[in-house]
Formats: sequence, C-alpha cells, structure tokens
Amino acid sequence: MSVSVMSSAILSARSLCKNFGGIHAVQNLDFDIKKGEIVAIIGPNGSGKTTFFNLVMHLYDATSGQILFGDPPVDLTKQPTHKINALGVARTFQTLRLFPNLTVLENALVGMSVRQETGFFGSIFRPPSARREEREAEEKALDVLSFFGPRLISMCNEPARNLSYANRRRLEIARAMASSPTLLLLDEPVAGMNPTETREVMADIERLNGRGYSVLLIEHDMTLVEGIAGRVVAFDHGAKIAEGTFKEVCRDPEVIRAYLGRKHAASA
Amino acid sequence: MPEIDFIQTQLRVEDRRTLGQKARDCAMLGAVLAVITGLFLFGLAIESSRYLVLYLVFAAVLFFGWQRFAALDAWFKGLLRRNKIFAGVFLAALLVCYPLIFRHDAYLIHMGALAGIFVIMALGLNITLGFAGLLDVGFAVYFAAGAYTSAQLSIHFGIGFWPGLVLGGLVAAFFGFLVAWPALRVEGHYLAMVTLGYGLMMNILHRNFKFLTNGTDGVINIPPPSIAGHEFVQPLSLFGLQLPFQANFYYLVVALIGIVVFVSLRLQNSRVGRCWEAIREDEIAAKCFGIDLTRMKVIAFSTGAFFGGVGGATFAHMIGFVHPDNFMLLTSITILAMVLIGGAGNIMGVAVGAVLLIMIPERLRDFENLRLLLFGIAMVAIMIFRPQGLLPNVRRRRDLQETQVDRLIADSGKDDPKMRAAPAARPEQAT
Repeated sequence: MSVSVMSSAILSARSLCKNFGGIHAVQNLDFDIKKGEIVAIIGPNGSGKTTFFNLVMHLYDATSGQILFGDPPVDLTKQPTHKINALGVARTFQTLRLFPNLTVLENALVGMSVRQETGFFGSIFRPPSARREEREAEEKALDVLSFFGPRLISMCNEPARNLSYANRRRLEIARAMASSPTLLLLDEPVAGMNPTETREVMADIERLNGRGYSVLLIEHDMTLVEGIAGRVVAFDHGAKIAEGTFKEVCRDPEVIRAYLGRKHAASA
Repeated sequence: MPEIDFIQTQLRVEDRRTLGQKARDCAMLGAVLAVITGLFLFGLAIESSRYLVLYLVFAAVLFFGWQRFAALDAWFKGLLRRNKIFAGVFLAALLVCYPLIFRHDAYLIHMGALAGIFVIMALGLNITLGFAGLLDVGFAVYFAAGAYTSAQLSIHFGIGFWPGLVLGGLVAAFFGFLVAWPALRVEGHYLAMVTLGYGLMMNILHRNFKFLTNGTDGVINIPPPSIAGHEFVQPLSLFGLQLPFQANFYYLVVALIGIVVFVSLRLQNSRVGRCWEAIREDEIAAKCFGIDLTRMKVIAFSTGAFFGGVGGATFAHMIGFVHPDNFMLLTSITILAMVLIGGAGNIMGVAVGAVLLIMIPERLRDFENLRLLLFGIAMVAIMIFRPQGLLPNVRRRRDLQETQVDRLIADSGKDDPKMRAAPAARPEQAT
C-alpha cells in the first residue's frame, strides 16, 4: 500500500475481528475508504456487513484490530459510541430507527444536537447565545430536509411515523446529514424501494457525494452498486473476498462462489 | 402546483385574523372554558359521596362523548391553539380566584394546596417518565428526601423555609443521582424493578435511621414559612377579602407550579428535551447521534427528583408533620398513576391527573375501604381505553416564517436538475 493512499484514507479497518462466541462475524478485515469516495459493501446475508457498521459505531466491541478514522487517525474501537458521531461519522439503519413520535424537523434537529452547545441551564434560561443557536439549528435542519425537494419539508411538522416508507429512508439520510459528518454510512438505503425510487436515491447519493461526503454503503441492489459505487468490497463469512471496481468484483470467482455456489464458480 | 399549496398551508401559521375575529374566537373559547370550569367547581362543592359518584359518571360520559365527536374536538383544539395566551390568562385567573370563590371553606383551599404539591411532584416525574421515558417507581424517595431535609434543617439549624426548599430539592436530586447512576445499566421493566426496590428500601431506612428521621415517631413541630414578615399561619387578606390561612400555602404552591411548568416547557422545547425524547424513542439511534445516554438519563432523574424534593419540602412545612407512612410504595404509585392517567409528556394532562387523583379519593371518603380497588379499576380502564392518558401528548408545531418557507421551496433540490425542472413531478402525499 502506497503512502499517498494511506494519507488520503478517511476510514481504515486494520486486522479487524469480531467473534460472537464461536462465530467469526468479522475476520481479519483490512480495507480503506478514501476521502470523497463512494464504496459499496456487498455480500450474502450474514456475511458481516452490518456487523462492520456496528463495529465502526462501537455498538459492538471489536475482538481485535483497529478502525482508524480521520486525520490524525483516531481508533474508533476505543471511543464511546456517542463521541463517534462528533468525530464525523453518521449512519443510517437498515431497519429504520427514526424517532417515530418526533416531528420530521425534530428528527433532523436531534441529528444536529451533537453540533450544539446549549446545555441544561442554557435550555432553561435561554440566553441570547442559546436562542441564536436554536434558530441556526432550525435553519440548517430545514436546509438539510430541503435536500430531498419538497418531500420532507412539506411534512416537517408531522410526526415521523406518518411518513411513507421511502420518505422515512430519506429522513434517515437527512438526519445523518444534519450532524455534519465527513463519512456517511448507509445501511441498505434502497431496501424495499421500487425501481423508480431506487433511481432517485441513487441520484441523491451522488449529489451527497458531490457535496463532499464520503459514502460507505451496504447494498444488495446491484443496479445501485453498479451505478454509483467507485469501488466495491465483497464480504463472505466475515472476511473480505474481493475488492475493486464493480466489473472486477463481479467476475471474481470467489464472489460467484459466495453468491451462487461452487458449481457456478467452476464454470465461470 | 398542488404540492406547493400543501406546503404553504402546512407551514404558515401566521395569524391573519382580524381583530373582530380574534375577539369572537376568544369569546367562544372563554364560554367553553367557563362551562368546563363551572362543572369542575360544582363537582368540588359536592360533599355527598353518592352524588359525587353520579357526578363523576356524568363527567366521564361528557368527556369521552366529547372525544367521540372528532369534529368538535378538532374545533376546540384549533380554538385553543389559536388563542393560547387567552387560555393561559384564563387558567391563571382561575387559579388566583379559586380561594376567593371558596373563602368560607378552608378545607377546600387546603385540598387545593395539597393537590398542587402533588402537581409539582407529578411534573417532576413527568420529566423522568414523560420526557426521557424512564420508569421510576420509587418517586416517594425524593418526596421524603425533600421533606426530611427541609424539616430537620429548620428544626435543628434554624434554616428558614426558602433556603430549605432549595436544599431539600438538591438533596432529593442527589438521591435521584444515587439511584440513576447504577440503575441505568438496566432498561425498561428492570429499571422499574430497581427503582421499586429503592423506594421500599429507603422507606425502611426512614423508619430506622432515627437520628435523621426520628423513626416512626415522625418529625413534628415543623415551623411554617413566612414571607416579608407575613407568617403563613395568619389569615390572608386579598382584594379586601379575608381568606383562611390555608390560602397562603395555596398561593405559594401555585407560584411553585408556575416555576415548574416554566422550567418543564423550556426543557421540553430545547436541545435537552429533544435529546431526552430521542432516548425515549430509540436509544440505539440516540447513541449513534452523539447523545451521551448515561449523562442525559442522570440529568433527567436528578431534575425530576429535584422537583419531587421541592414538593416534599413544601409538604413538610404545610402539614407541619412528617412521618414515614407518607412515603410508602402507595405514594410512589399514586404519583406514577397521576402521570400515566393524565398523559405522560403533556404538562396540562399531568396536572389534571394529579388534581383528580388527590381530589376524588379525598371526596369519596365513604368508599375509603374500596379506594385501592377503585384505583386499580381506574388504572386498568385507562390502560385499555386510553393508554396515552386523558390528555395525550401532542407534538409542538413550529412556527416558521413565511419568507423562510418561500426561500426553501425555491431552493429545494437546487443541485438536482430533475427536481428543478418538475418540482411536482411525483407528488407524494402523506399516508
């Protein structure tokens, strides 16, 4: 690995392992995401993709290895979860985890709270600085919601549970954007969406990338992966089995074996 | 473009009513509120348990009948939302006038003050349970901490009521912190079990730590408060009317409720409140968005406990006598029921719940033996028919400026050519 690649990496997994009892959910994982890239992780169900996201957010303790983020690099496996967002990593959830009874706008505002400073007494006494911060946060939250056109703003005073499924996924992304991250982790952003919506989300992710966010996404929808991922990493049984452009990874015999079985791999 | 129209009706809450319309709205709201108030005051004046039962059935039918007519309910809520200030003034006026109306009935004024103390405590639990979603079944611990602290400080150290009030609150907050720190390792039912055990354990300590609490003899002769030379045991004259001394405590409690409501509202509509609500809704997501769960939960527990302590200190100085029996499990459950029956998270609802749960049992003395049974039936009925409480929590709608909205509509999706070309290409309405 060349020095220049090292220096531009925003997130690097180093010999990362995670065992659940005897199961090796993530095995000796090594890979980098460079600044400004869109990287897709693919792999069969149970191959450790979401486990990797949970390790990045330190929802799980890594068995061994490191996850280095940012410059200078910080080992995320040693950071408490609530500090990781402040460092600049924000994620969405495959199984939607919005705050259902909070309004759309409040969901975005919670995403922003990590960038706010008003504490307990500031909240009660509301000095001018707290008022200003709240006004600015509201502006920024509306701005983030407007990324998706009128879809979310038009609902901004509605509880998130009233949103349609696709709009909930959009709100997950908007909430993540609200925390001003440098790296976005998207866990199956188009799961359950129809082809039209998928195309739209693809365009949205490219626009996100255009705004300077590095994106790491997990996806089963190969149209999306082919369309936007600069690089693809394939997982199987918790280990990285292939890495490269979409075409390269598609032709990789290991990947064919993982998805289709040995017979197909031999004939490929 | 129908979609844009939709946005504008959703966001613009600017008041465009003429003065005449405003006056008419206020008059209508005033009339409705006056009828509700009249019914409430009439209920208070009923002394016979039998008639009161009839009255309660009538009130329940009225309330749930009202709720059945969605149009009526929506009309009233709209009216209330448009005339918030008027409604607030009406409520404040009612609270001030209450002792004047019942100036010949010292007992009712005393009951009002006692109910107010429980409103303070229920609002404290509302912060822990309603806002942050943490089930605390040992709230009487903070009630006791505040009561014993201010009582003993005033008896042994001559510390007045006012500093005692704050110190009582602080000691209670410390007791909240004490249980929160270890207990927050567990969630949900387990947290309830830990706080339940904490409440039972502390009550045993109240009985046995004689050097602090005087044991089962209780603390007696707690001096009443005074303000600017006016002793709270002297009658109060107001607007040329002579009020019984209980009115002093009543007004003190109303003022304290004002402070607690103010703090609750400020916390609810701020970063701290949003973080609490995020924790209540989804802990994992909250954690991933940078919210320090332990810290925020400890703050929620301590703040709630502080108000519990303030209620306790007021109670001690009003009654003049503190006994461990005041702080048994039943007290904790009553306060919990106030929050749940009233509507967790809704400040007005919790206050109503507290008033009902103090006033009704007090007036139904004939059925004293059945109290727990009736209480249980009421709880079960609420959980079946109206699990969100009598007055459910509603989301605050944010008032956004017109210019802001216009700019956003113009800007929305500006770096997406597809959106700009056809903003209403695929209208997607709410389900």
